[in-house]
Amino acid sequence: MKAKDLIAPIAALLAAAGILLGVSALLGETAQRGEEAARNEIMSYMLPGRPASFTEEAYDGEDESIRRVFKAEDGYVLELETNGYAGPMVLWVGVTNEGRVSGLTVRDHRETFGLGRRAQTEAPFLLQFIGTSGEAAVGEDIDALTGATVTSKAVTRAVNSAVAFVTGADISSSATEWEG
Amino acid sequence: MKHDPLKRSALLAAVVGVACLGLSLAKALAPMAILPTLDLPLTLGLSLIALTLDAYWGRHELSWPALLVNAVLGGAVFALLPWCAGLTQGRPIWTLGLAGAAVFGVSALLYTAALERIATGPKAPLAPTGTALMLYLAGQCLSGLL
Repeated sequence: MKAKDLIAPIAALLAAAGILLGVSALLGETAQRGEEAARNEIMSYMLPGRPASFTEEAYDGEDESIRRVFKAEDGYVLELETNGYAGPMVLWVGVTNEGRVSGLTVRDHRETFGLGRRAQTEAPFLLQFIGTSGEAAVGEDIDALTGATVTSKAVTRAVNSAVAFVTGADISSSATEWEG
Repeated sequence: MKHDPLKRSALLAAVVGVACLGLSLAKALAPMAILPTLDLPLTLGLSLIALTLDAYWGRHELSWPALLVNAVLGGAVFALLPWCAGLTQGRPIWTLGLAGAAVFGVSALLYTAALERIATGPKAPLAPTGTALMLYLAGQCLSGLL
């Protein structure tokens, strides 16, 4: 192997990097607009009355699980990050102004295939949270996913945190304090 | 055909570049689509595509210095290209680079060693593809265990 053998792979790497940077710069604005539109579309299903627009509000409270807050006329959609079994989980939770959960979706996670991963897709599990108002507890109101109790508790913590934000409930009921 | 021990890194840059380009376009034009993340199976899959192309392109032999340099270049590819395409999803690029170097290095070693045993000369045209499929399935099993 000679030093000149390095020229082809490094040239290919730099060429590919240049093309990708160019494409990212060209499509950056389109991607951002598309992402915002897609986010609004999904969030509109999470509150009653399908609000057409959301306003992002700054959050500087104590609950470290709350990442972003979006307000609509009839309620809020919160983006929360909580610790699952295998890593952080990101959820969106819709809560009405009255403090009732009206929508829930798991947006990102690293949970185990076939076990905790079902938190994203298993409708009967997710539907248990609809209508709850911050008191949800695994083993009482919520049936955990089989083989994924830690994941189920993580989702429950996040949902209770979202409700606590809207109702102004004591922080001890929220994700940062309750270890589940 | 002249043996170029680092050609597989150039092919990896091309394969990962095309994949990142596709993901960038999908992200911009179909924002509702759920796109694959740069995890172990995807990293392994892209590495194996590059290794398979390399195997069909010309002769290949196991060389430890080339394997090491290829692993380092593979790490650079998996760190730099997703970063340029905005696909790192908040992960530090050094972790992507480290994982990419490990996956490409190990898969290149296993691929070359397995192919030498499976290929029986020019009459074994499916050996490179078969080796890649076998290693991908093994990688998926490992990923599931992790």
